[in-house]
Amino acid sequence: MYSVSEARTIRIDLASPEPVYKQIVSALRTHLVNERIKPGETLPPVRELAIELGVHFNTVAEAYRMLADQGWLELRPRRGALVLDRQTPHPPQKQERQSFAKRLDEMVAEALSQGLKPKQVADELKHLADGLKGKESTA
Amino acid sequence: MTTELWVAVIAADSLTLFLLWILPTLSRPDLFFGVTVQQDFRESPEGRGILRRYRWIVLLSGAVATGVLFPPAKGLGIVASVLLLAGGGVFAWAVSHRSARGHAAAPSTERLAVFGGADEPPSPRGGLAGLGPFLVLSSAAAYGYWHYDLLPDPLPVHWNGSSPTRFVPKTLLAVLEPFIVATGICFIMEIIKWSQANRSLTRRLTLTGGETQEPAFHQMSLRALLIVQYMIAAMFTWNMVVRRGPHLSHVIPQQWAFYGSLFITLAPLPYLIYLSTHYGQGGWKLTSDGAAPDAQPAGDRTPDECWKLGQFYYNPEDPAMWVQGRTGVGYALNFARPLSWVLLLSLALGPLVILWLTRR
Repeated sequence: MYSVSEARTIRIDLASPEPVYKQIVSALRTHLVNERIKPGETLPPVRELAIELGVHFNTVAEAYRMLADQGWLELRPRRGALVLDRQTPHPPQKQERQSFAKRLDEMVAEALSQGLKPKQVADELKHLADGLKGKESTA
Repeated sequence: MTTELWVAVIAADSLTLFLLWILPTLSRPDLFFGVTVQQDFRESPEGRGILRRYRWIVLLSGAVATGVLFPPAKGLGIVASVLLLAGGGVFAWAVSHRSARGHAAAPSTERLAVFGGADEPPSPRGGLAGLGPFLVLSSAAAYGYWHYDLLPDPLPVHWNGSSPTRFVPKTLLAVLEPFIVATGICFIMEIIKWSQANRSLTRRLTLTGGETQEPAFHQMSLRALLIVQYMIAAMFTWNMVVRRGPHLSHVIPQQWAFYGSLFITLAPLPYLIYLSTHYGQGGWKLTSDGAAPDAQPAGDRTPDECWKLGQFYYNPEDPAMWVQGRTGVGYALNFARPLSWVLLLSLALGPLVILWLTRR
């Protein structure tokens, strides 16, 4: 049997209200931001990933297109999607930071409403913050 | 009908009966007669009742099918026996499927893909070993070609027991015909292996339980196809060398030559049955940490409603050409994919076209 590295997995939920292509974008972007997928690597071909996930080719193609628009990928016909060395965009403006804080606030409220305890949510946020601090110090 | 063929039919009937008996135990714990159910359903009184009824119908069909073979049946008796057993199996499965539908559970909607890991499985189509059947067939064809002058004229054709079914005039094409047919069959199987390696999921993993069994199962399935290719090559070679060949056809009695063919056909089956029972459908038996009995069933991650009559998969939204079948162990075609129809037509027409070409 072959071991499965969680570092390279994409998990989606077909019953989620979030469209599947957005779930794929989120999963891949998380890997890209955390550098589990590095510049110069090639993502699995659209057909292969679609078969693995059991979704239509166009769904995966749309996710790749979206990541390409954001500067993460270069789409090469018949040769897969190449991961680019994406330059960090300009520092966010005040409005964007406020929007991020609002979305975070909503996510926390949603997690609490689903039964998670405040300490659990705080631990998760702290875990994320620690990871970000580590990234800052190595940058 | 010769005694040898009667023995072969008895063997085939017994094997079919055994396979029908163990069939329901091979499917995933949360799939029962092609229906997604809770994992602990098959151990419930209702589940046990459905399985018991299925096996009674199968046993009854087997008894009737064997009964019509005694005293040694001929022609229609053989056909009736095969039809009774196959029909009984299909009927038992259909009745059980219908009963199980009343206990269907909503399958998990989660999906998982793994990519780019360091533990990619090796080439699943057998590599150099995949050339073996073609090399064996080429060697036997070369043997027939080099000893053409020593072969009998007319040539005996054996599709039956020890005595030839018919005779054909000796020509080079008639000598090579079995190898062209066998190579055609092996080539079609090569296409099946290729399409299963590239057009089926390999790692759409079980989320509620072990997560690594499906690549191993995928490899096992392709290995089983390779074994069948070797069996076909060996059988045609045996017939060429032992039943037609100038060196052995007069040494080994034709009756024993037939039993040799039968042995070659049946020899891989114990190993294939062992693989099926050891892995289970999708390799679920390799998993030690099963899901909690009340967990949402993962099934095989194909929607129940896309399985027409519980047997035929049609899902335009699924890009896979092959998905894990819901009967026994192995893969089933997704009939919503045009390539599936191309393959099916090739399977049906390929051998006929080859025969027609060689007999023009």
